[in-house]
Amino acid sequence: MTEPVLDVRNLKTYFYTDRGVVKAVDGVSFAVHAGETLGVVGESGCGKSMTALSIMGLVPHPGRIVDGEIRLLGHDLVKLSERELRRWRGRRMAMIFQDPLTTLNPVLRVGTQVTESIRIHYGDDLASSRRGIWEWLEDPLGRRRRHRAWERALEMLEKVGIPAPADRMRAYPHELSGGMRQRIMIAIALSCNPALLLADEPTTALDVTIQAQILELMHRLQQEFGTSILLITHDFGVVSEFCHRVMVMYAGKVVESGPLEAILDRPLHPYTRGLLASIPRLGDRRRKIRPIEGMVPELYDLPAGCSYCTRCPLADEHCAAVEPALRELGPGHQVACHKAEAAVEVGWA
Amino acid sequence: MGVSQQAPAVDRALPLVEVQGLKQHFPIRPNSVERLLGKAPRVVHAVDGVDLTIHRGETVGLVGESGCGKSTLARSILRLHQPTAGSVRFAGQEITTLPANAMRRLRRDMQIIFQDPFASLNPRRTVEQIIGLPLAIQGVPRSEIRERVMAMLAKVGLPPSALDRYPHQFSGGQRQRIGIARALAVNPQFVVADEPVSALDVSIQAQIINLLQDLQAELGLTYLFITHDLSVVSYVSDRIAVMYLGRIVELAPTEELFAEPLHPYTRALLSAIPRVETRGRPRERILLAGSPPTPIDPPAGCRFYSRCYLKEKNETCRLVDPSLVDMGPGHQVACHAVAGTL
Repeated sequence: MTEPVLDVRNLKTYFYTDRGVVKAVDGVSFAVHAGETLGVVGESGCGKSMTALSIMGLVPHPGRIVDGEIRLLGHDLVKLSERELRRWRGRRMAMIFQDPLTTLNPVLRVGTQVTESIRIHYGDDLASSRRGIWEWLEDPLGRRRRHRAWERALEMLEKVGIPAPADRMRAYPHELSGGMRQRIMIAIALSCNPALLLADEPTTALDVTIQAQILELMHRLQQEFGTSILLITHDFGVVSEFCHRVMVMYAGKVVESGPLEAILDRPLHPYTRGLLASIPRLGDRRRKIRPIEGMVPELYDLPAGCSYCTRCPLADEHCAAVEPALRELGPGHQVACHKAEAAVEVGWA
Repeated sequence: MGVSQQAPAVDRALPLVEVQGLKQHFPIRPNSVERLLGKAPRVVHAVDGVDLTIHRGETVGLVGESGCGKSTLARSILRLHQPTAGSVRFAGQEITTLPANAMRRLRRDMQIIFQDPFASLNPRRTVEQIIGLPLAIQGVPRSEIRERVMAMLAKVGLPPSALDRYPHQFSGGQRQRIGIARALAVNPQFVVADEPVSALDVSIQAQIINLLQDLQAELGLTYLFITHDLSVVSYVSDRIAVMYLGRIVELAPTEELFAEPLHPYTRALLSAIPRVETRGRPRERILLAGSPPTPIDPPAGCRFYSRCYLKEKNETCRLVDPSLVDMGPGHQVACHAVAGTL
């Protein structure tokens, strides 16, 4: 197999708070291959977003990456300095967030924000072929350069399906609808043609008909640019329509990962099964939904063994004492559960 | 969750809530230029002519995209807004013209559960004060309040130790339980649940949905269940009303709506929901272009005209407002093409 675009090994992002060390991401390993979409699912507070922020090098204070490797295109991002990281961010990896209204700057025009990363990362390519003083003589105020960035931004807005893009470039974010804002975010993220796109709940704040438009758009752009996508979501429906592989996280750890079909048809971890059983399916009132009892435990107060043992119907003393490691139980299908075989025998899904 | 899931029998002969021609308009304050020019104030037509009957013991789901007027409709039914026009009858009594003190007495029978369990609970009040407030307003003697609050806590699955704690000490799901306890404390007949699970994680969502259904079976409640999540609404509702831009465009029993959606908007909405299934992909998907028009001075004819993808659409659709037409038992749709009135 070819080298993956993103290869995360044993990533640990801890927060040092007054109440103790919060292990937000605790020994997470995974890979994303070229042109692939990896879905990350789990409840809020299980470390999905923090995994993405760690990759971007945007972990907020008082957190930091304490261990592990994040290899993007063969380079370890953890070892890069902030200066070097800035050249990677936006250029080779980009992130879109849940709420496009809070991530766009309300006092800057859309055009300024879309051209920003193009100007930063592609400044050289957009200038003339001449160098030094000759370039300056040709374009003393950088007008042509800015103009080319503008043109490229305009092209991106067209690609993401924004009607009348030239007018929209002069608009402020509040003048656009939620779906349009998310399209702008996608245009910004893809403007420098990154190898990896991190999408953190990109459609959660949108209505279903708009969500369908945005997912369709991301799918089309992925095919056009060959971008690898890490899609964070809590919606199994989105995962099942959009992802090639799925990774389920719980309390900062990966509890199960595998190809989409394996996870949906043969889920092995009790948590994955619990999540799937708790979603109401469309037009199926006879099938009773089974909630997962209890809540995600506090991250600075995790049980010694399996972190899911407090809510797991199969847990015993062994589970509470010994932490299960990820084991491969099918082609590319890994699970961290002592009882996975037992669950297969019981055969409930 | 020991209580049976069986919903109580719906009594079709007994409408609990009858809404007719309900309109809720909000004028926009003109800016100084508009005032100088003497322009007529523009009006948001949030709810614009809705007819809906809710029977005793049933759950009616109300779905639609954000801004289509779902919540406004619910609030107008409860008279939390004074409706601009139309009539709302509760148990046979017209309530839009009821004097304030009679209205307050009636509120014992109609309550609401809000979406955001963080914003809808007063952070400075204890759980006992929060759940006890509606009881105090309804004139329950102070000596009995604590006992009734305890009983409510038990009903919604919270420990008695919750009484003297504050909302911030609870998780989202537990707070929603407090909100439910507050709404049900006065023994209402009719409860509006306005996106009660949208702010919660899926596993917690299922707990709250099951709780609401158990309570309905136990107390014989009638629900108006508002949500934008069609999977949730398909699970809890007996009938579903689909709203678009201030109007109900389709109304049908749940099974029928999912088996045979008639309105082009409903069909697009259903096809847009991402489903958890690996077999049978890819599925036909109707992608709607654009987003809904603004409810400020909505279009004259069919409100869905600008996004409608039917080949049959013509000038009639653009100019003539379609009304709800019976297409089968309990199945109504407002579309010229479907009803054959083109």
